[in-house]
Amino acid sequence: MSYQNAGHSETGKARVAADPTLTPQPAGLICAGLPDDAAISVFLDASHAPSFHFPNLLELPEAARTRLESRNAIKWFPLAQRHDGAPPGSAVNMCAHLDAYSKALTAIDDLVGTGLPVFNHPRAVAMARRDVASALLREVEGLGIPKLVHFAARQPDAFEAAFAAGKFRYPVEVQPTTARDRQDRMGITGPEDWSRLLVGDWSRRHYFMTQLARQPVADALRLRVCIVGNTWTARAYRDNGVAPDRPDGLDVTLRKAVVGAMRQLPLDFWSLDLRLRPDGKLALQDVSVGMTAPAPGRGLDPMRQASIELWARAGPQLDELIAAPARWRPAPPDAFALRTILTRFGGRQPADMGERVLH
Amino acid sequence: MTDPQGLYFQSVPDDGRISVVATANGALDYQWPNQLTLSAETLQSVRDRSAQYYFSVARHAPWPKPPWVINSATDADTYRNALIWLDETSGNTPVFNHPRAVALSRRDLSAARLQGVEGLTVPRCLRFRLDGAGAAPGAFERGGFDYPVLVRPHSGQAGRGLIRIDGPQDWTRLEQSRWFGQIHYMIEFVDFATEQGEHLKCRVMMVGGQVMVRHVKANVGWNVHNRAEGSIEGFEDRELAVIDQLEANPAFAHVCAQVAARARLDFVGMDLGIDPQRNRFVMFECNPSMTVFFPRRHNATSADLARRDRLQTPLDAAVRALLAQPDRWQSAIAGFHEDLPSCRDLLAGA
Repeated sequence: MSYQNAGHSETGKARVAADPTLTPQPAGLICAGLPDDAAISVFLDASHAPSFHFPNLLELPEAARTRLESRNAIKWFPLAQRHDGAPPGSAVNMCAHLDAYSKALTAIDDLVGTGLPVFNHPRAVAMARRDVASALLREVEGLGIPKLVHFAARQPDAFEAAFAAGKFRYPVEVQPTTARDRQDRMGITGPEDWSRLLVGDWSRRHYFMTQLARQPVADALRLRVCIVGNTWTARAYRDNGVAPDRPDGLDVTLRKAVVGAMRQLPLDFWSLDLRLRPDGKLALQDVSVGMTAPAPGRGLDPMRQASIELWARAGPQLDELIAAPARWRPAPPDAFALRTILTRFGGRQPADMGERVLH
Repeated sequence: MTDPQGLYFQSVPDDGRISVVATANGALDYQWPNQLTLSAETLQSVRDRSAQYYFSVARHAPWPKPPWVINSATDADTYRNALIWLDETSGNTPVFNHPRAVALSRRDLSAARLQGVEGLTVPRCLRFRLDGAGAAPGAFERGGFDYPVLVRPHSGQAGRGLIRIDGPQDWTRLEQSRWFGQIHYMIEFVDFATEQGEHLKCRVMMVGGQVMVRHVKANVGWNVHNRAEGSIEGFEDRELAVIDQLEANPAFAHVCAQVAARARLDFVGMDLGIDPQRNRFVMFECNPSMTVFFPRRHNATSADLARRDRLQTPLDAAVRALLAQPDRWQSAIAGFHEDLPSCRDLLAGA
């Protein structure tokens, strides 16, 4: 973009840019997205006006979000019309889940490619879907990857079919892939449990099925790790609320696992959930783009309490990182283009799934 | 405006979900399902003299006791909670498209209420949840249906999700439905083909005692919708003549008058199969959520504009006039509340 074209003058005069340092930087773009099924949640806010919630969009601290929006234009993908303007100088991708935003992420990837700094590049977001990440993180030292499949449920027997095809054994855990709350996970301990999944909108979703350990692990040491750029912070907790100890060697194992994961997944803001196994390895529980910011309150479970602490620490780091596109992780190569990942791993919203009917 | 300020009542859907699309200029267009649809001009005129009121079960403002209310929550499957609440809160305040009448327009309740309308065939309708392989055959048995029947999800419009079941071998088709798990309706199939083998579908609107045909579509098959496969080419050239005949047809007028009297809605539409030459009319649906107002297209032809002037403009004027006269609304008529059951009773167990 030239200064001549970017400038504006009521008189049409005084448009000379003699000093190249005065040339404005190309504007950045905030890439928001429409969910594949076009469905969003609506609720009434404190003033009784409608407020809209887009599922699985990146959450940012208020200060960072306000600053970002004041300096950059927002576009909603997929665009209703082709992007005809000059290419943006940088882009912040807000779409945080491949299954919820496959169309938007593909459109953003088509627009930004590998030629400009992109915060949480759509290709990296796709790589973070748990089944894709499981494949990419398999060789990371100190990290154990539970058996997991990704599948679409369209018929009541889809769950049992996935169980049989994946050669799972009971117990397993089933969770809608876009759920960001552990309460949405359903443990299946035997054939009689499958019908418990057939409630609500079950038939319009993608799911993960994960192999669980034979023995309950309610008192296991768990870790939530928040990664901002090249820095990471972890908080340990136990579901039963007992204060976590620090077994010998944990710090080393954790460092190897997190650094190894960071090498494989080129995201700028993301989080990992890990569980310490009896053999000293860390089992991968979840990979999330960004991190959910739970509202502070009393009686929070240990995981949410850990999230609050991590969020408070991540806020200033995010603020700095978003303002410095040169520090963002480079785009994954074309081998990880959105269309390639979708073809290899599946998961594009099937044409006949999830359509919200308008009339 | 000098008249007292009323209330424009809107609600969050029971499932808390709406749709969103991006417009050509990059803005977002939030699309609330199954609402009262008005033209942009009429909606603006309403908003100029009313306050917006949004309802959700979780949160709503104190009721301001307005002199009148325009209810835009016009589907009992989508807004059951809001309808019950508005019915129990509004008392004797005139409500345009009162929640009790909206509740009665639910497909199954409407089919029951319109049975016996002289000159109108009203297919029986049963509401059920498609939540297992035996759900639809069970509903078929329970309702005493014969093949063929039509099955459709409650949220399906414009033919989406509508499946015709011709025999027991077809039930498995429903298990592939993207709407599996949702409330569905099973409807007796009644053939409405004319002697010429055409299937004509008419949308007629009833507003304040006036009857206005909004469109007639034609297809070689029974599933008649815009752009549906099998649409009869060139029918648009005959459409206005068919509409003129219909509006001059005393039998059709008699049917519509009876339907309006039973529906007790201020603004309601009915889709029906028609065979004007034999005066055969088959009801498909009758409710206040029909989309009938469309913005003027920038590339509209003179024929488009003439059609709009004939079919949309007078309807818009009639709706706007009625909206401005709350004392003419159904719920302002003495005996309305005594005549209709409460929403809570109508929608019990839904």
